[in-house]
This record gives sequence, C-alpha cells and structure tokens, in this order.
Amino acid sequence: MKNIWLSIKLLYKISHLLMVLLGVFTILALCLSPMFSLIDKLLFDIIQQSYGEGLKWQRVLRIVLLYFCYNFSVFALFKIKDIISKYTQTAVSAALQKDTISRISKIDYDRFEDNEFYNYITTLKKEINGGNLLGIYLNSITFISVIATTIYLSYLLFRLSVLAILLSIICCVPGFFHQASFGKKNWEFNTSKIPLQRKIGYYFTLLSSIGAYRENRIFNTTLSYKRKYLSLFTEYYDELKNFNAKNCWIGVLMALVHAVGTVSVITYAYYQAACGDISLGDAVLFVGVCQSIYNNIQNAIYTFGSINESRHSVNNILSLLSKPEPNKKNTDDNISDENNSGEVAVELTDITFAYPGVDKNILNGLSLKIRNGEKLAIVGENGSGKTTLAKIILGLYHPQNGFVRINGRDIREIPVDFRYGSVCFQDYCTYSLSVRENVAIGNIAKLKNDGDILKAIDMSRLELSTFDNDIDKQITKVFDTDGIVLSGGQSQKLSLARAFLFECGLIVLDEPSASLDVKTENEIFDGVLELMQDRTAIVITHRLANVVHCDRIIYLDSGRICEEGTHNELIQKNGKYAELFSIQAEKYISKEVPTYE
Amino acid sequence: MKKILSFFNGIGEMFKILWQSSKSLTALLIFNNIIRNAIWPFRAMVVKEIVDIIVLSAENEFSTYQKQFWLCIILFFLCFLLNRIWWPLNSYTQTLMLAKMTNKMKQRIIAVMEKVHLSFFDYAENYDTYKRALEQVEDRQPINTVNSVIGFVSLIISFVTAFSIMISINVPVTIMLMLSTVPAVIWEEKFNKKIFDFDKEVTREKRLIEYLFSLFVNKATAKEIRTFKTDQYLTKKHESTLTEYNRKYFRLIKSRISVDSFFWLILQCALMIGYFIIISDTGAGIIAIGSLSFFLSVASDLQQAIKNLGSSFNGVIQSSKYFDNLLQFEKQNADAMHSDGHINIPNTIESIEFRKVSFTYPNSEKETLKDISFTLRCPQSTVLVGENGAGKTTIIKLILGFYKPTSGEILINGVNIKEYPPEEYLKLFSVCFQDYMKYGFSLKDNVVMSNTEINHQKFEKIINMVELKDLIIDLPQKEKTCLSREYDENGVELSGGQYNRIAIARAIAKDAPIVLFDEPNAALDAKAEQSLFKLYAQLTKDKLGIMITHRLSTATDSDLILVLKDGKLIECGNHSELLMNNGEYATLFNMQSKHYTSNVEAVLK
Repeated sequence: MKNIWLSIKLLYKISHLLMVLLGVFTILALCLSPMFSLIDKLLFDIIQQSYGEGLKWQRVLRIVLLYFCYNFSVFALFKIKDIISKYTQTAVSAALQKDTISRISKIDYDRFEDNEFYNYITTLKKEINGGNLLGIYLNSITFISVIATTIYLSYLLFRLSVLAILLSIICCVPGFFHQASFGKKNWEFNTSKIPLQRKIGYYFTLLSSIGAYRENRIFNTTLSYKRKYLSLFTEYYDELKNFNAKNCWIGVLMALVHAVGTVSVITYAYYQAACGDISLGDAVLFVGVCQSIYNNIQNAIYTFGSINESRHSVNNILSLLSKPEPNKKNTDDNISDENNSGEVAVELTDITFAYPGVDKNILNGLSLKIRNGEKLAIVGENGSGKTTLAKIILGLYHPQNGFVRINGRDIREIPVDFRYGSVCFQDYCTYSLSVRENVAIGNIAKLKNDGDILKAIDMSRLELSTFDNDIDKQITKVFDTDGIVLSGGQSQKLSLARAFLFECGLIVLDEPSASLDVKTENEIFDGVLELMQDRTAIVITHRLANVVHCDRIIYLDSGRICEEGTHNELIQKNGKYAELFSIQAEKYISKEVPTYE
Repeated sequence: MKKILSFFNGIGEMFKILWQSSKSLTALLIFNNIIRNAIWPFRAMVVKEIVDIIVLSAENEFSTYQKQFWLCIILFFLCFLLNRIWWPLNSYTQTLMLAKMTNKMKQRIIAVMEKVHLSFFDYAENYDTYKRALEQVEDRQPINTVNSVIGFVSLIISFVTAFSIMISINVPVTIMLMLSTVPAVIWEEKFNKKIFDFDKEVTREKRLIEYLFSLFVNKATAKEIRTFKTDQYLTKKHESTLTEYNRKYFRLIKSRISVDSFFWLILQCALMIGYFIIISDTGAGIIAIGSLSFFLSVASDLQQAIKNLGSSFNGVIQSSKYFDNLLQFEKQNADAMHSDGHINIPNTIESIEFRKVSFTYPNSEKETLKDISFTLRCPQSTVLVGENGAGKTTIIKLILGFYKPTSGEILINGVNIKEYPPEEYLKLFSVCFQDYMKYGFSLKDNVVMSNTEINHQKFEKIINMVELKDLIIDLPQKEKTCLSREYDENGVELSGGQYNRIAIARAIAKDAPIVLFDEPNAALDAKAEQSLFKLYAQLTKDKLGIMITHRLSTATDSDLILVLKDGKLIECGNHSELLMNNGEYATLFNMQSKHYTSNVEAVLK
C-alpha cells in the first residue's frame, strides 16, 4: 500500500495537471462504456412491439443517433485519454531518468564494489523503461472506476433478481484473489531468477562474442561452455515451467467457476424471456449488463494483479527517489578563489582502508604529507595499494579510519563541485563522443574553447591529423560510421590531453605508459614532464625510469610506506626500492652499451 | 511471385523454429490465438439462435424449443468458457514459449560461432548481420513476431465466418461496411512507412540516450565522472537528446491521431447507415430479430477485423522476414571458405617459417605486412619488437591461422599450415594475449580452462611458477574463489598484475610446444616482470617461444630478435648483433635505457 501511495505522490510531483486530466478522462471513458446496453434495451423493446408493422423512420433515426452519440463519446474519451497517457508517459520517463542520474552520480563510489549494486542497477533500468510507475496510477484509477461502474450495473440487474447480482459477482471473487496473489509471487519469482539469468547470459556471451572467440579455440573450452549453458538453461526452464504451470491450472479452474457463474445468470435471463416473464429488451439489457460486469471484473482482476506486481517492481526506483538528497555542499564563498589557483597540499593521517566485503586491509595505518608543488612517485609490488591510495586522495573512496586533508581541510568538508585535481587512470575511458568532448572531459568549462583544447591536444603529442584536424569528429564508430577508432597509444595521449586542459591543481598519473611502444612512451614521457611542472604531482608506475626525476619516492608494502626518499637516497639505503630498480636496470646496463645521445 | 514465395518461406521458417522449440507449446499458442480472435462470430451466431427461439416461443409454446434452447446454451457456455480461459493459458504459453524460442535462436547463433572464421567479422555487412542477430534474441521480440503472424491467421478465419453470415442477412449493407474500411487501410500502409522512417531516424538518439545513462552506472566511467565533475554536462546532454526524441515522437503521434479520427468518422457513418437500414428492415419484418442481434454485435467488429487485417498485413510481411537475419547469418558463414586440411599435426615442432608473407586486412587498403620472411627453430626464445601498428599482433594471428596470408606461405615443419585441420592445429599453441579474458569463474578454472587432465599437483606447480601461491592462501575460498563480484557475491576482484599472472598461468597450463606471449608484462611490477622473463627463458629451453614486448630488457637475453617497422621485417639477430648494427633496434634500446644508464654509478656501487 505504501508503495502505491509513494508512486502517486511522486507522479503528482512531476505534474499535477497531467495526472488529474488523466484520471478524469479514464473515469469518464470507463463509466460511459457499459451504457450501450440501455440503448440496446430500448431498441429491442421497440422492435418487439412493432415487429412486422414497420417503424417510422424518425424513430429509427432517433435510435441510430443515440448509437452514434454513444460511439462518438466513447471514441473521443478514449482517444483523449490515449494522448494524455502517452504524453504523460514520456514526461514521467524523462523526469525519472533525470532524477535517477542525478542521484546515482551522488552515490558513494565504493558502492560500485558491491555485488548487490549490479542487481540493483539492472532492475532500476527496467523499472524506468517499463512504465510501471505510471502504470500503478492508471491501474488504480481504472480499478476504482471499474468498481464504481460495477455497483451501478448491479443496480440495473436488481430488477432481474438479487441472486443474479450476487452470483455474477461472487463467481469472480476466487479469480480475483488468485490473480492478486499471483502478481506478487510472479515478481518475487522473476527477481529471484535474475542471478541465474545473468549467468546464462554470461555463458551465451562467452559462446557468441568476438572477444571470447580466440581463447575459446585455443583453450578448447567451447564444449564445456555449451554444456554449462544448456544445463543452466534447463534448470531455469524447469523452474519457470513448474511455477507457471501451477498458476495456469488454478487460473483455468477460476475461469471455470467464473464462466459457470456468469453464464448461469445469462441463462436465467434468456429463460425468463423465453417463458415470457420478461421482455426481450429486458433480456438483452440483462445479458449486456452481465457481459459488462464480467468485463469490468476481468479488468479489475487484471489491474489489481498488475498493481500488485508493479508495486514490488518499483521498490528500487522509489527507494532511490524518495530518499532525501544527500546533503553535500556546493561551493560557497568560504573557499577563496586564491586557493583555487592550483596550490594543493595533501595530508593523510593514519589511513586504514579495505574494500567492501573484503577482510584484509589494503592500507594499514598509512600517513603521508605531500607539499604543494612536490612530485611524488608511488612504487611497490602489484596489489600493494598504490591505485587505492591515489583514489582515496582523489576522494573516490573513504578510509575506514584516519583523515585525509587537502590544503588543511578535511576532504569530507570539501564541497562536491570543487575540483582540486586531474587524473589519468590506468583504465582510462575513451568516450563515444566527439574529440572535443573527449578532451573537455578534463575541464568541461572549456568545452567551447577551441584554442585551449587544441593546445592540450598538442601538448599531449597527439597528432591532429589523426582526426583530420576536426575536433568535432566522433570517436569510435558506435554513433557515426565515419568515426575514428584510436589505437592504444592515441587513446593514452587523449587521456593525457584531459589533464593538460585543467591547468591547476593536483595531477595523478596511474601507469601512464603501460601499453605503449618505445617511441610513444618516449614522446609521452616528455609530455608528462611538462605536465608535472609547477604542480603537485603523484605518479604511480612500474617503469622506474619514470620516477628518477621525482622529488620523493615512496615504496608501499603491506599497506604501509616502508621506504621513502629521493632516488639517490633510496639507492644508498640498498633496500627494497634499490632491489626493484636494479632488477629493471641491470638488463639495460650490463652489456657494453655504446652511449649515444 | 518471388515475393510471395519468400513470404511463405519466411512463415515456414518461423513455424519450423516454433516447432523445434516445443511442439506442445506451438499447439497451445495456435489454440490460444484462435479462442481469442476467432470465436466471436460463433458466439454471435449462437446468440442469434437464442434470440430467434425467444421470439418464436412468444407465439408458440416454449416447450417445443426446449431442446434447441438448452443446446444453444451449452454452446454459448463453451464459447464463453474458451474465451475466459484464454487468459491464464496465454500467460503460461507466452512465458514458456519465449524462453524456449530465445534459447533455440541462441543455440543457432552459437552453432555458427563455432565454425565461423575470424575474418568473417571484418566485413561490415557480416558484422551488421551478426549484431542484428544478437539484438533479435533480446526481450520479447521473437514472441511478439510470432503472435502477430498467428493473430493474422485467426483474424482471417473470423472475418470469413462473420462475412458469410452477414452477407446472408443483407448484401448491400455488408458490402458498404467493407468498402468503408478501404480508405483507412490504404492510409495505414502509408503511415507504417512513416513509422519505419521515424524508427530509423531516432535509432541514433535512442542509443545515445542509453549510452549516456550507462556512463553513470558503469564502474570505470563513473569514477571518471566523479573525478572530472562532468555529471552536469552529461546530464544536460542526456536531457536535451531525450527532449529531441520526444519532440519527434509526438509529431508522429499527433499526425496519427488526427488522421485516425477522420477515418473513424467515415467508418461510423457507414455503420450508422447500415444500422438504419437493418433496423428498418427488421421493424418491417423482412429480417428476423435474431439476425438483428447478430448484426448489432458483429457489424462494427467486422469493420475492425478488416481494418486490422489491412493494417497488420504489413506487420505480417515484416514478421515473415524476422528470421531472415538469422538465416542469412548462418548462410553467409556456410559460404565462407572451408578448410580441407587433413594432415595430422606433428608430434614435435622443429620450425616455423614465414615465406614471403604479405597480408592486408579485408576491407582495408593498407598492406599490414609486406613480404615477411623468417624461420624460427625449436627450441628458441624469440622477441618481436616494433611500434604499435607495425604488424606484430597480425603475425601472431597469422601463425594461429585466424587469418590467411594474402600471399606467401606459413610453414610448420615444412608443411603449409592450411594442410592441418584448424581445431587440431590450435592444439600446438599456448597463448597469452594482451587483452586476455577475465572469466567470471573460479581462480582454478581461470587457469585450467576445463582441462580435466590437470591434477592438483600440476596445478600447484603452475601456481608456484607464476608466484601466485601467497595470493591463493589469502583468498576466502582459496583457488575456488570466483574472480568476479558480478556473478558471485563472494567473488573477489584482483589487481591488474595479479590477473596478468593468471593469464600467464593459463598459457602454461596448456603445455603446448609453441608459446606465444603478446605483451604479457604490461601491468607487472619490476620483480614480477623479472620472474616472467626467467619463466619465459625456462619454458623456451624446450619450446618454441615468441614474445611481443616493448620492454627491450627482455630482448637482451633472447635467442632471436625480429624488428618490424611499417609492416616490413627490417632487422633480425640477437641483442649484441643488432646493437652493433646501430639501426632501428639500437635507437629504440637507447631510448629506453638512457633513463637508467644515467644512474649507472649509483647502482654499481
């Protein structure tokens, strides 16, 4: 019940007028529909009286006009309701999408580590597109008007017999309850099958995608995937069949009960007419009313079942949208603009962090101070927490313990739209948008600033000829068959261009040259040096050649900083860093290397 | 004529798929449709009889008509009941049939993917057919298509029945009713084209809206949105695209409704004239009252039926083509080259030779490889270097037989590789790709890949070789831990470097005589990188190994270095030889080493 009320409240918030209009026209259309029986009765009474004698054409015309008015009104009402409904549907869907996006973008990033979240998002998308929210409202209105009309129609049946009313209504009741409960069960069943369906979908992808093609053949896994796919599908189908078969049998039984009840009443009416106890017109009226009651109850069962099913399926969207928006501050005047000019000092105090659902802490009581303008390199073995540390500094993750301060301010106090840094992620994204937009992601305020964008592209050593000197060309062929497909190196440079576009603040580089060839790596290296000038910078890398020019290097191990200092200091210490560096360097220097510039 | 044939062909294919998916459900589907769409004239007929009986029993005794009366009532009950049970039956049938049909179509796609050549997808039309085939198994498309075809057939049945009775009541009125639907049907045709054009026009907008939405819910892009604060911009873009789409949509709707209403008026006028004539005739005693009742219940339904027949005709034609895409996908693949290799693969590998191999990708003008010749012996460790785009990965694809050289030959042990049957041939190779797959399976399965011959000891040995033992001990379910949080809530996401090792372990687990590594060390730290190279050296003591890498430190110890530039093999030799050569390799090597050599003294101390 609560969900229904919340849905209606939400819809009203989107547009009062549309909801009211929709309601009014639905009620009018539904209440008017059964009235044809009255006209039928009139017609048949007249016919029975004057059968064989002929009718005056004026009388016939009057009846025909009555029919016309009825048809016209019903048509008009339904058509208007249709238009309003379609219009409302699009308005609601647009408003929902907007609201959902706004809220999802404010959700804490660490939710994305949660398995539950994937299920949540899948169902959320379905709910927005499925029109369930508006459906609840429409069905509720329909339900109420149908009940009201049925009461009126029962009154008409009163003249036939009280028993008739009772019978035609009672025989529907079992079906009613069955459908209502099935709605909820059906939703629960389908939701419980989502993980299984996703697994089936996954195996299908493994068997049908181009990406999996090579490994399937090389490792000869196609047969085992097929077997798994089949067994999963069989499991799903059997459960689906059992569940639906049961409902089907009960449904047929209910139909039988319903049919027996309604047809008995109709038979009674015809019998009475055949025996001459009631007029033919009355019989036609009663049969017509019975039909209408039958249709109405059918409608009521359907809408009630729908409501019951949708009120569960809108759970996710309601819970997302009815919560008050998180209270994150926007930039206020307390932050003076001087601070915005790019000075960034970072302080981490005693940070512990573990990913949601994981027991082991990846960072364990780590403390670090980065001065403004300092270039810091973070090195360490795989899995030592380097990227995690960078993400915490950027505010994507929140440590379970400890403090993060940017320029002395606790990171949680910093307003949401205040930006203090740029980043090139290891898994950077290339967007299926224009080149301009791809670069301007780095600093959206400069979207229309051609000069700065071209400059940023130039500084990243990406050649303009790659996209025919046209920064409005599309990247990837998804939305434009003439789109440009970039190579790995070109995409990496594009990602760097983003950082160049935001001229101040912290710069975080996570493995900027991981998959690049020697020449490209070299080109980017110079670009990176230029980028880091006069800025606070954090570089995470395995290529220890990148770090020798940094002011300070920290070596992460077991969630802590175990060594720290300049390159020379650490080499002198002969500890872990020295070991790592010499492993990499020895190959380059152990042979007789003629020195060339 | 050809169109008619292909139409029936399409319908035939559809029923074949239905029948193969489930015989009982197909029968139920047809049954459901009939009781929903074709019963109404019969019911009206029964009521006609009942009304006639009632009128007659006003004059004579009812008892004479008792038997007919009760017979009619029973028939009426049957019609009513059939109509009523449609509902639960239909929901059952539709749900199950959809599942079965989609499964059947997916299996056919899988069957094609098993046999298809990789080069198939380089052609735009093939790729489109493939993509569309995948789209078609989504959602309710298959079952909706089937419903429209079966619905059409039952509409025809009902129309014929209703028409034949109506015509016996009054011919001119019936004809007039039918003719009144013609303008509406013609316009429907025209309007369908408008809808089709609209769909094509807005496909881009629809996909863009979905894409922009997906940026917010995808893990990788979501973090970029948060760090770059691009949420407002993307939201606005989403909103404006949605508004544009809705604007176009409503333009279409408005035109539909206004013309719909106009034609409705025409239909109504015809109907009312019909009413007038029939009612007058009944009043005059020309037509029985039962026939009047039949007319009233059937007349407007008859008009609707004709209108629906006309409007769904186009839809049915479209539906008959629905499975064309799948058929085309299957056929195009069958037409592709068959390999007729039937030589047994050799037990030991002695050499791989490229003899004047050139290669151009289909649909591309640029030659990716130009006249490449080299010979590799077993055992040998080889390193392939060159800029991105120089053709290194292409060489690997050619060796694996995924593509065939445009000219020249590739020989293993002196035999052209096309003489070997493809599935057998691939048994010779262990590969670790640069963009290896991360499977949502357990760690062990990610390594072992359904090879049941790897017992626990062997598995342990492999794990030790790639130094993953410590990681496994820390995992909650050891090697049975699932490596993806998407398919298992106890799943664990590993770091890039850890995944790298698993991909390498995968290649080792296969234990094939030829080992191909494509940039296996991209995400590895220095120590792991060193162990990898030691591992590679160890493996290639008795295998033939090719590694693509940018880290030239690997090359220093390998037996042979091949340097590619612009598709040509420009240098070939070992590290000292090439340095002496002072060519491309030497340049690249010095570019990389200069950062290290400047600190030589510090290290040497």
